[in-house]
Amino acid sequence: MTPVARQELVLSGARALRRQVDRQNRWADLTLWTGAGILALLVLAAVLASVIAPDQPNTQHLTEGFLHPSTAHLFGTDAFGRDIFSRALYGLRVDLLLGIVATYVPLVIGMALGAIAGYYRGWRETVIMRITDVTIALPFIVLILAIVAIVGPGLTGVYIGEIAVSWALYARLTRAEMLVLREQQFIVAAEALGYSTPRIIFKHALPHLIRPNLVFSMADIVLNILVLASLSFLGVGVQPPTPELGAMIAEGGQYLLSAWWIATLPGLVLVVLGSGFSLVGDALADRFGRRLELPR
Amino acid sequence: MTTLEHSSGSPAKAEAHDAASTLELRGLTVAFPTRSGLAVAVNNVSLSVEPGHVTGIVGESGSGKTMICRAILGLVPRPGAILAGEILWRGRDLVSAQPSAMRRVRGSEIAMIFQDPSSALDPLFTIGDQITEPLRAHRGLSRSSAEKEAIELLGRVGIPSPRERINAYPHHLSGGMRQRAMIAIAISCKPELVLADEPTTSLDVTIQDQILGLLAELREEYGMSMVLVSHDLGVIAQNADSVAVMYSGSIVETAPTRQIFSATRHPYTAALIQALPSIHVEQPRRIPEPIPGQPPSLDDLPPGCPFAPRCRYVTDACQEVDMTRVTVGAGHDTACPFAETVMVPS
Amino acid sequence: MISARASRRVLQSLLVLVGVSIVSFALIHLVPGDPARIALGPRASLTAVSEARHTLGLDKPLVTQYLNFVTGALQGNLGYSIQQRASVGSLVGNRILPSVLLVGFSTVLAVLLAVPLGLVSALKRDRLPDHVIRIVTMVTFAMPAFWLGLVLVELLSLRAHLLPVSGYGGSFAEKLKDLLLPSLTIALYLAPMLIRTLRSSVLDVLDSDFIEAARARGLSERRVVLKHVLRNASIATVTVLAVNLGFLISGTVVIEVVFDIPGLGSLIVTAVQSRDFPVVQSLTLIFGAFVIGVNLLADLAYAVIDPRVRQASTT
Repeated sequence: MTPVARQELVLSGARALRRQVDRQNRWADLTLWTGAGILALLVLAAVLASVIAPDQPNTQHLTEGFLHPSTAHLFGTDAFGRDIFSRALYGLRVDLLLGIVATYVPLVIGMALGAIAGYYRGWRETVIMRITDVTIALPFIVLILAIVAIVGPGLTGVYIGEIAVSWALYARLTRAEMLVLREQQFIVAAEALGYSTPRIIFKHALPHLIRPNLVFSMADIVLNILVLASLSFLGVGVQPPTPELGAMIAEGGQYLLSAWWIATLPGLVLVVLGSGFSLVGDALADRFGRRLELPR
Repeated sequence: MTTLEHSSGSPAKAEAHDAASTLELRGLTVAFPTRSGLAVAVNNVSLSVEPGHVTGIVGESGSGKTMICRAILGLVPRPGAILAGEILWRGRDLVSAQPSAMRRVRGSEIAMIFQDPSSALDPLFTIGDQITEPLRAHRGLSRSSAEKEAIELLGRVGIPSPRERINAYPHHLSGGMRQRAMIAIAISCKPELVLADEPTTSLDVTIQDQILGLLAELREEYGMSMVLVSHDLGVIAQNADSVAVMYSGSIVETAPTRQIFSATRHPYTAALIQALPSIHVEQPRRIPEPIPGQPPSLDDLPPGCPFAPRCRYVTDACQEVDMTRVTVGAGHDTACPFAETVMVPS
Repeated sequence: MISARASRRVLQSLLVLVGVSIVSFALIHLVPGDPARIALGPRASLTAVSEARHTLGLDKPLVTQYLNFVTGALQGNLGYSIQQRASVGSLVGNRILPSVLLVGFSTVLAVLLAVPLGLVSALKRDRLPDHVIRIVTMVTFAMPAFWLGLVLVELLSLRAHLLPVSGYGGSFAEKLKDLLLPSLTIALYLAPMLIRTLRSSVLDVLDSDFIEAARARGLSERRVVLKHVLRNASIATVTVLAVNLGFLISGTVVIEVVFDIPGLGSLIVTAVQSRDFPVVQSLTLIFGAFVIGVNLLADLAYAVIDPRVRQASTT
């Protein structure tokens, strides 16, 4: 084979490989941007609910009940003649806010506890991890239900319950990462240089700890929103007439055969919202080489 | 295209169609896509392995030695690929071979010994199970006769009480015993060529010699050729008939083993020899000299000779070198066109 | 034969169980106000309240109360629900079977769904089947279990009349038939998490040296996957199931309400709604003990699948 022919062959092979990589990168970009687009759109819709919504969420038009979806009522109307689209927009607000608060407050708490446990080991680790074990041993919905039973039905109980439960998985995840990290050269080196412990944890370890937590938080947001929706569905979450997507599905459940849209369309909004977070999480997991599933 | 030819004529074991060598690589190029571009793990490598001989490949980790072995067996991990070149096995090109044909070659004609026997054995199956696998797949033996053969093989590679060990799981064995079991798997179908990828790197120093000795014995007994991959020039010096020195995916020098030490013709090889503790070479009490700098990243190769940035003889002309090897002696060639002028006088 | 490893794990589990019992015991005392007053309602007379305080043992010191709670629970005495005028033990006893059937049935369905899909997704990594499975998984993951249940009821029961809408029949066969749709719902809810975890576990296995070594000795791809990958992935499956148990139970609680199944899930929901604390307390303990028990079993199950663990437990 002549050098020129060989060169050609290598170049064409290289092009084929690069195309393959481009395809994969495009797929990763596509998932990331589709997810980000969905989230941006829904966040915007939730923030601007009062501007976009054609009607007040709780205004009843008793003569206009059970209207099919149409241009006047995008998602139709419910039994009380309330505009479901408007209610869904306001409901989205409640779900999104809870999802973000009930995920990132526990993330901070869990990361701090996990980092302390993994870095110091010893009694701190024992105490923190045993409490973590107990929290994880209780199925989250059971523990949240128990807390709601104490605090009383309503959004406050859900907030307290979710924050009291969600931190544990972040603590477990962070501790495991920290155990690996503290053996690595740059942490050992930082210790040898006599840097203060907070400086080592915050400046040197934190950037490495945040990635897996961030990736997992994308799945966790979805879980937390679904828990709120489930609790509202069970009648102990958001109380009527406050619009919330899960509560709206619950209200529509009894009219499934006669007015499918009442339960189905708010449900779809929830699914689209969750898919948005999942898509972003999946793309981040790919990019960081991390996983999206529950930590062991 | 240059090949590695040997001065000492050996009795040709291979069939009539290719008397000179059983395995010949021609311009093999293996690349991996990365986020930033392409990493060329094996760059235009040509090499031949003669029947009954040991061809050593030496180089720093990441220089592409292991990838050559994988490429020979058609096991370049995704998403990497062979971009160009031929792998001629008894005159047949393996690069273009069908998967089923390739499978018949693997383990039966060409076998491989892995660097780390503790990860190369499936922890969930017994040693016996894993030895009988190739026997049953390639030689169609029944379970009982494959088992009988496995016991024999385990005994042959020096595992005591093989009748019991056949039911042992990998974690029951020590590192050395595991590597012996890997060797038993490799020779089970009497292959003509064994690819030994750093077979002793993960073992204790005391065990290393035993394993290398065993390999030499078996090679003799079965008349196998071997490709011995190592980062340790000392191991290569003691066990290989000829050496190929790799740097950043390219072969920089090939020569019969004796010559590579006595008539070094590439600055990188010279640096490797300098870095050897003196016990391996004739010069007494020489302080090993480390090679300054790091090997270049494979996806960011400089133009010209990749060793230039670390080379003590570097000149501007090194950027123009195209890494085609020039013959400087019997079976001896180098990729450094300046070697004869800069190295010989010193 | 009780090995060191097994006994260590049992001990650990017991420790966590003690923690769980403390949490469930503490629940009733975290409620603002007098637990006896809450149990009886605002209109109960003072004498009735003090009588209830005595029957519930609330007039004893906390440690005594806790020890009584634990010894009671160990003897199957889970307390008394004043609201339902029944012992919690009998309430639980009546409702345990449907929940157990539901959990078992949905686990089987979820594994049947997730194992092949997780395997295909990993084997066809970054190709079309993988993309399709991942997208579908992401979307199903975002579906609330109860919404999924309602949609399945609408499609399969109300429109296609394939399966009963809800309820829980008399004979065992009827029960299973009634549980099919709820179980399918829970399985669909659980499967995405399982598929996702399995995919990455199988990818780890595929990357390992021993798979390459198996290929290098000339085994067919089919054999490599069916023998070496599958066996190694089965360990992952057990782990994945244990890790996602809380997820499974959450699905069960909600789905029991959707399909009107008289199980422990619907019992805890009614108890929370009516603030029937003895029931909430006992069920918290029971669910916690169940999760701890299954995790322990899963841990001991490794010893059966994985010879490395088996050896560790004999030495």
